Amino acid sequence: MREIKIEPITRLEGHGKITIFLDENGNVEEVFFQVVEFMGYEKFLQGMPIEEVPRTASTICGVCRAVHYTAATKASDEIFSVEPPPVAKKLRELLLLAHHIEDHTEILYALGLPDFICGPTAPPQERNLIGVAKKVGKETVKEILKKRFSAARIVEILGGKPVHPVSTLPGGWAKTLTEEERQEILKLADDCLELGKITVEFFKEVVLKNPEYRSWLKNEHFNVVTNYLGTVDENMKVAYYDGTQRIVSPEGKEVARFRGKEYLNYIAEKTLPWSYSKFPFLKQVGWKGLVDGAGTSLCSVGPLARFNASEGYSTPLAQKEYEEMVEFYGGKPVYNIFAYHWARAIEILNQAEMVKKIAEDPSITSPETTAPLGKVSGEGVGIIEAPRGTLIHHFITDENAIVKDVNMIVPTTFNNGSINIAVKKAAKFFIKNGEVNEGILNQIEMAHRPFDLCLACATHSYPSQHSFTFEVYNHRGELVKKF
Amino acid sequence: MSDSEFVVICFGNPEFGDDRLGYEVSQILESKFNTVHLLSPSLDVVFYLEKVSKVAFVDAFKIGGKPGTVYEVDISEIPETYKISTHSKNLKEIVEIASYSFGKNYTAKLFGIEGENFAPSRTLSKAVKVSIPALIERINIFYNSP
Repeated sequence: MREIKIEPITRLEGHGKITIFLDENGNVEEVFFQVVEFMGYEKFLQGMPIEEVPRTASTICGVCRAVHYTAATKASDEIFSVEPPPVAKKLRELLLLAHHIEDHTEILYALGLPDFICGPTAPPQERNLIGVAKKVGKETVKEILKKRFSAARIVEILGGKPVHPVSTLPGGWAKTLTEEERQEILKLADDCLELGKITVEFFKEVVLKNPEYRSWLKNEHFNVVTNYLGTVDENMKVAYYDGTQRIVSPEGKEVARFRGKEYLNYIAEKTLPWSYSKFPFLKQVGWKGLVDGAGTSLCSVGPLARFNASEGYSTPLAQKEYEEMVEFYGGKPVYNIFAYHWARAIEILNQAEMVKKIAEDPSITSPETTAPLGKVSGEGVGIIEAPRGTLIHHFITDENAIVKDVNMIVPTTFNNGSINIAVKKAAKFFIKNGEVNEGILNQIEMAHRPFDLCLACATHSYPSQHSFTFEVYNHRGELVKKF
Repeated sequence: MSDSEFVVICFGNPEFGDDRLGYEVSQILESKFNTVHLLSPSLDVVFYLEKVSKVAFVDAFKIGGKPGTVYEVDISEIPETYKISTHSKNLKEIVEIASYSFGKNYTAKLFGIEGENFAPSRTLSKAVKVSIPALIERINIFYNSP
């Protein structure tokens, strides 16, 4: 059996590898996407006072700075039996939405779309943001970066720091937003809205108008058919900070709704010996392995999952785009992995509209930002939508709110099974009769990028950025080529 | 040069032993220079390069040297292979993006110290700690250089 390794895989956060096994005819027999990084935050948060956990949890990732922070903060509310005042919830939501915008923009323009803009088989040194700038024009990229900075500036205003926010407390928000800051956020929101509009149109121009890419968007080889989990509001529209978690089946039927600790009734995790990352699955279906289609126990999260688990977006411009995407596919659920990028672009628009709406509300400058803490309950669950998908933080504490046990289910873990299936399908599509080259291997990697992987990236000591090596083995396990 | 044209951008996770070097250096230098601490390189770095012309990056190293060894690398000398980053971006790519976007050339260096222990801990190893003054001195020289 011939073995091909893509290690480390590129344009993601963290370290992972893809191992492809070919049969004697050179066709794909098996593919594994493996997480080769281990950080152990669930262990070393134990013993910490819960009020310190959000700040420490924010260091899990240099990119997802607001999401672990927000999920842990929500869990700490439950532990102190306190309901934050409305203004605190709005400010937390604003922080999370602005973070989504900056993150989605980076993922689309720097990680996901370069494959489409520069070409999937272009040399890797050209398939990056500079390559994008050369294709679409320096001024366009400059404008996109500038508008992304507006989202980053909102995070800075609200979080109190450029990175790793420090502004929330159990039961509230530590600082009153000034009227001057609200006015600045309003102006920045206009930039974000413009960014959302540009991005949706950009996706249509680059992907939908290209006949080859358009065909990929409807090609069944790029379908991963699973259950879908996302958070919805009372109108069944996509929600990010608060709401009800909803799961729909591969056929699009609602199979579960839950909030907080109830997740334990629906989600279980499977450990497989070849990966540090666990494989969540639907408890009531039971572990069915890494298979998709009807009856699968796998459950995807992220922009496309939110699209599938909801009935659209709460804002007019994003809703219009949602309807266009549903029409393109002739209905829902949408299974095509490249549609993640499309849904991600629409979300920027949706989040920008939401930011503007919240910032227009003068009550967010109210000084009533905290509520008194209640009795230590000993258990708290915080669930939010991260850019990459549903994020769950679950803490058990003692009577002094010292953390005793932690469980975190992060979006990339939720998507672990789906990513394995996606890269296997892509490998089967692109590798024929043993023919493998750099371009083909990148096209296989294109199947993990829609999921916006984040493999616990924070231990980044220099030089963490390795070059990548492909090793090709013959069916006797002998190394025949390394490049 | 004026202080507003110079920025020190430090990287590192303060929860992982010697990886907290960037955080520690940012604390020392924040009263003297425009200083930023980030967990890891991302597009956010470009944001801090818009108004400056000279940048000192600071990070822990793990390249097989003796723990405590102080390094100084011109960003333009980072091997081309690192451009194909496993993370979202590397420093060379980020400086190129900034240079391309803002239409200017940067004087950019990466300063660091070879680490010894990257396991979860909120303290630096002794070897790294004693080398910090030498690292700070190199950053000062860089700041004062033409």
